[in-house]
Amino acid sequence: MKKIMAAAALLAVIAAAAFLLAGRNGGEKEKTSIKVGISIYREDDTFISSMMSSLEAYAKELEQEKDIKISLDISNGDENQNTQNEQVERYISLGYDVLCINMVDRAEAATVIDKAEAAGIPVIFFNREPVEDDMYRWDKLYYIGSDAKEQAVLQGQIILDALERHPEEIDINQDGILQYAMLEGEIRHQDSMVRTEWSVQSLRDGGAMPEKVTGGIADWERAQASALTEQWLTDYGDQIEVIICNNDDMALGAADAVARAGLDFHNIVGIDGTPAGRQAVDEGKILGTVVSNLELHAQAIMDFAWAMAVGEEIDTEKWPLIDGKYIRIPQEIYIG
Amino acid sequence: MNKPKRIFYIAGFALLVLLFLASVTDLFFQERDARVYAVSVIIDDTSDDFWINFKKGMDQAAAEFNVDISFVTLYDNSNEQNFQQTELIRREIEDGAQALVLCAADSMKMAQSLSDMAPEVPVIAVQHAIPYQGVSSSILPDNQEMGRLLAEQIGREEDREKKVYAIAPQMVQDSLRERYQKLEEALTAEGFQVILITGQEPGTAEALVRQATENRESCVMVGLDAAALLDVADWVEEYYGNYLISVYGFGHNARILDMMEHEKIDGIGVTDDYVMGYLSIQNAVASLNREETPGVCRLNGYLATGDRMYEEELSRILFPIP
Repeated sequence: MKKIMAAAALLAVIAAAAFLLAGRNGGEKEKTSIKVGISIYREDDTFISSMMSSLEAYAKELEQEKDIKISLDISNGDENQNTQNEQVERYISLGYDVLCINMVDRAEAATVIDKAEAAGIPVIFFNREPVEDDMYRWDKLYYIGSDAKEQAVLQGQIILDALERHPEEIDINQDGILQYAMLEGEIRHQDSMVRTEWSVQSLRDGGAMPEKVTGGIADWERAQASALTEQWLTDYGDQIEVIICNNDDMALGAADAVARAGLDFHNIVGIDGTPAGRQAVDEGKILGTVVSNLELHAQAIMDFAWAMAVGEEIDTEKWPLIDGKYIRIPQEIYIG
Repeated sequence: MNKPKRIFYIAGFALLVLLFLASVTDLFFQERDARVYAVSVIIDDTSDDFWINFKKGMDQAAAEFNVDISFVTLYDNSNEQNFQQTELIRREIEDGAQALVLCAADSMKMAQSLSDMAPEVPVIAVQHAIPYQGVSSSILPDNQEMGRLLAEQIGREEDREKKVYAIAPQMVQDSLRERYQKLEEALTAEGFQVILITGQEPGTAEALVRQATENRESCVMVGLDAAALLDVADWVEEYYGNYLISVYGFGHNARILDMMEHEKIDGIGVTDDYVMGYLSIQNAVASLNREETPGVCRLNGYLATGDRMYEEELSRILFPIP
């Protein structure tokens, strides 16, 4: 019996040694770099591409400040959720520290979350907000973006302010009713729906009596917005007093069509405050836009990514968290 | 318990422990990992604005050859670009880069830096040749061909009385010298006067554009690289000189293509950046696997103009779809 006990003890020692060795082999090394995998829904969205430029610039600053290499890999989801899912899988397989995802389809976030949770990699969603239920599937999920309702209300405010200052330039036919055309972003996109609803609601709340002449979906794109506006200018002509656009790219598209038609019309409002959008405001091609601070977006994403990757606490004084999950970037009116 | 039984129980127990260990550790059987190659791509710019198509090709090759790419840009556009690149090379190698793809900011200085460092990883040169023996392979555009094609286009479209200003802030790269040399040679043969504006005080080229528009002087401006081209096109637009000044150049990004489509840029010499990106990663992996790689790979030059940019061959180069 003693021999059996001795043999068992020997084997137990071997097993323990093996575990120790295995633990040492797989142990954590000191971090000399962090890897951030970023997937965006479409690379030719001006707002997102400008945000990515700001993000890269801020990552460089942070890298120099912290003396740890920050490797950013930005992939284009190309408006295809399957492509984006593959990009997420690739980041996970390559051992990235944190994922920053601008969802192609906000309703499909669960797939990304489940993969990331299984690999223990935190996820920061940005700009395209996943549905609320999904955000509570795991504790290492955050969303950084602007409040679409606030944007829309501010957009309405631009028109109301202009109406107060120069009523004859906005209510062109002086009938006391604001005839408008609406250029909407993606169908079913939450921001698009909220911006559409609340920009008009804020006009009503401000006593402007809005009346829709026409509207259409231009998918956030300048070219589509331009084509739609060109058609409307032919069909409705001077019936349209204001063109309300869900983003700056579409506002620029509307301005392109107006310029092609040779009209002196600039009652066009956008949202996002992209560099091109602000330039168009300065040049008097559009009435105004709502600036959603790109630099702040980028800083918030990178600060969160950094904290997640190195295991630091999030600086909640700098970035106050709403419901422990959401960061809302402040925004302001820009009229040049 | 008799002896055979005891031996049987001990052997059985030992087998169970061994099987358990084999299943939870790498102690006895090393699981073969799918090999992932770490390749760092270091460019000579602070952003990837002019590298979008290159990155598409690079990403495609990365997916095919299982490569983890670290795409590294410079911190700033100071005169210390070679120093920055040298430090970045050190950092990337320390961080585990198994191969480097380099677009040198200054080929000669980089050759010296590499010679001093003697990196033990394969180095692939892109865009500009690096005269360092340890470079495994170079993927370079055919600059002379691009220069010749652009000169031909200028010859077809412009009056011989117009002066041609070729603009580049610095001419430290052979590739720019090759473009200029061919352009100058072909245009002079056609009867044009070609003036090189380089290495001068910042603002010289802009002042030239302003002066030309103020004096209503018709001329031709050629940006010898994409950044110079974009600057020239912006100045011409800013000073309302589009009706006087014809703008040509080399390289492209989305803004350059947009300006070309809107007739603010009259023609560009381009190469297939997508293929360059793809080949750089493919050659890096081949070098890591000690496979043979072509020493120098010259990519064809093409001429793109606003009215031809959507033709099949050019649109494949300008707007590649992976």
